[in-house]
Amino acid sequence: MINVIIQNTLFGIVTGSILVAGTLGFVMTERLDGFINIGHGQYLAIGAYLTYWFYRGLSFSFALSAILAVLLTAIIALCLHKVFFKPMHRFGVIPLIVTSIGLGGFLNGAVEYFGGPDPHSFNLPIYKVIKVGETSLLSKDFFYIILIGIVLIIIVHLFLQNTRIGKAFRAVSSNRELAIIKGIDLDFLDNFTWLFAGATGAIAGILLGVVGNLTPDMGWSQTMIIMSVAVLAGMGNIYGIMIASFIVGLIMDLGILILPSGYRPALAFAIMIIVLLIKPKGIFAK
Amino acid sequence: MGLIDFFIVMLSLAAIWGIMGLAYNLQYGFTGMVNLGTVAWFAIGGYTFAILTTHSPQLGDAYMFGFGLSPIIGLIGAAIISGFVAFLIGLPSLKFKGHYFAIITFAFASILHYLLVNERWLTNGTIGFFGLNSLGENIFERNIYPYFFCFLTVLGLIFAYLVIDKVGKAPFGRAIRGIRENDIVALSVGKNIFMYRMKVFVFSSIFIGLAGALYSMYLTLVTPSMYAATLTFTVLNAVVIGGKANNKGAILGIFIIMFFAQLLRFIEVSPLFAVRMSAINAMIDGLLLVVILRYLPDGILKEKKVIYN
Repeated sequence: MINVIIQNTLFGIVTGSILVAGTLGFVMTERLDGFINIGHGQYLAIGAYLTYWFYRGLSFSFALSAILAVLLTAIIALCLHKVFFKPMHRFGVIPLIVTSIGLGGFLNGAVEYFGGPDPHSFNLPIYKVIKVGETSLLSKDFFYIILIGIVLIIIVHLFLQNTRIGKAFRAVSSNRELAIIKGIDLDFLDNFTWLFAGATGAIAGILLGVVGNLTPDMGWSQTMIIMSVAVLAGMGNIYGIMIASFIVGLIMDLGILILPSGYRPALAFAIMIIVLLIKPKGIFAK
Repeated sequence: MGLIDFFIVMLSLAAIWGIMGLAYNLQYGFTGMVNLGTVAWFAIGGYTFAILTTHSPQLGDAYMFGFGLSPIIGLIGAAIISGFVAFLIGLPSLKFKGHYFAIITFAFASILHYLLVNERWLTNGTIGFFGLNSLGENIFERNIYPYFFCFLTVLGLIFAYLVIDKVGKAPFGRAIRGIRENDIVALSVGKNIFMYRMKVFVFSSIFIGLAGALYSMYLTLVTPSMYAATLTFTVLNAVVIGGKANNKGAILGIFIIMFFAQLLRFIEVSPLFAVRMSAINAMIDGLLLVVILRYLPDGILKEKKVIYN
């Protein structure tokens, strides 16, 4: 029993690391442009399917496939922003959200069109499970996922604190008007953030593919979990995301010890409702 | 099946969807609440109706409740339960400014789908319920029943139109449009925004639940696969195309969407391509929504500008 708990705790940390990558882009675009991108989950699906295509279809090495997929998804996200979201800003927030739904539906259809309705798998080589004494922990690739999550957190932290763009981002997200008056180049920041959202989304999607399967609906189902992390973190608290992701990941993966595994996403939803009822500004609100 | 029969069946379907479109318009068009989980209330209506009217479980059935009540009680139950669920979902999501309502409704719809599949004691799992009774089925002959059902749904649509139009024109309707345009101003003249939004949400969810019950009557079955998330987007599409905050527009939008969906059915495609048809459908739907919002932001029928002195 202890063994199972330890293992699921580690799985929870893996899930948390993936969620960090998935949620960062979602929240950063929300902070900057003021609307939730319901189609954000589709970037995960696009990243995963592109990797699948490069790796299995064109037989590139996995690392190269992943890097190409991340770059391509980032460019796709930027182009979609430029073509669809940017001109909609003059209409207000609600048309923007609805546009993101339409775009999400379109991307989901595109993923299903090219990937087919059946689930796929990367078929990566199977690594040996690392054991400590009698307890088996995780296989090596899962540890890499945790590592990627931690590296991503450190990069984002250093970026927000030390670079000019990072400081500009913090300025805009805390007071948009003031930042514009002070002469922050919003267009550049916008482009950068959407590139970042696409790239981190793709990373999350690829990691999801490493852990499980690729399904055409993964975009929508991940959107829901990403949104519960965002609500738990208090919508827009970048540092809150990092802790909220691990909380949601742990609760989901430890919860299925008690509940049927079909309820994994339902647990994320339950967390969201409870947080909204008790601490609506997120658990890190002062 | 003759052409008239086909027309009758399509008209009943369009009327059911029309009720849903009208109710959705009250949320999205009039109040500016982006409900991304409309399909959930449609499913709740359908399932409540099914559970209340289906025969009690026999040996080998997975579900535990089947009350075998008359369809009228099924309809009333569907209305009550969907209104109540809307109240429960409204409690955490409507109080705060921001995107919480969109997030919660979107998440709720996907969770409900899991529940419908997994809670077999209540919903009979992926099989669902079939052979459901319709209203007045034992009064009318089999071959003229579709005409009666069509009459029933159109009557429902007219009723929904009259009620929702009245609400939109009443002081209540002015208040919710005020909240949509500027909630701070609405608050400053003493409008309780939370209560208004909650009333709209519960009220329109009752209509969506009724539409769901009618839909399950129409198909005489409910299964989880009927309630895909794309259904929400179809309704949203219809309201955006027809014209938000315009009740005639909502019905027009539904009829346009229905017409094209039926048209697609008659296009002959190779079997290899047919597998991809649902994906293409989703792509067209999504793109249509984006393009209409961009180039025709008010829809085909614009909201009537009202000037108050």
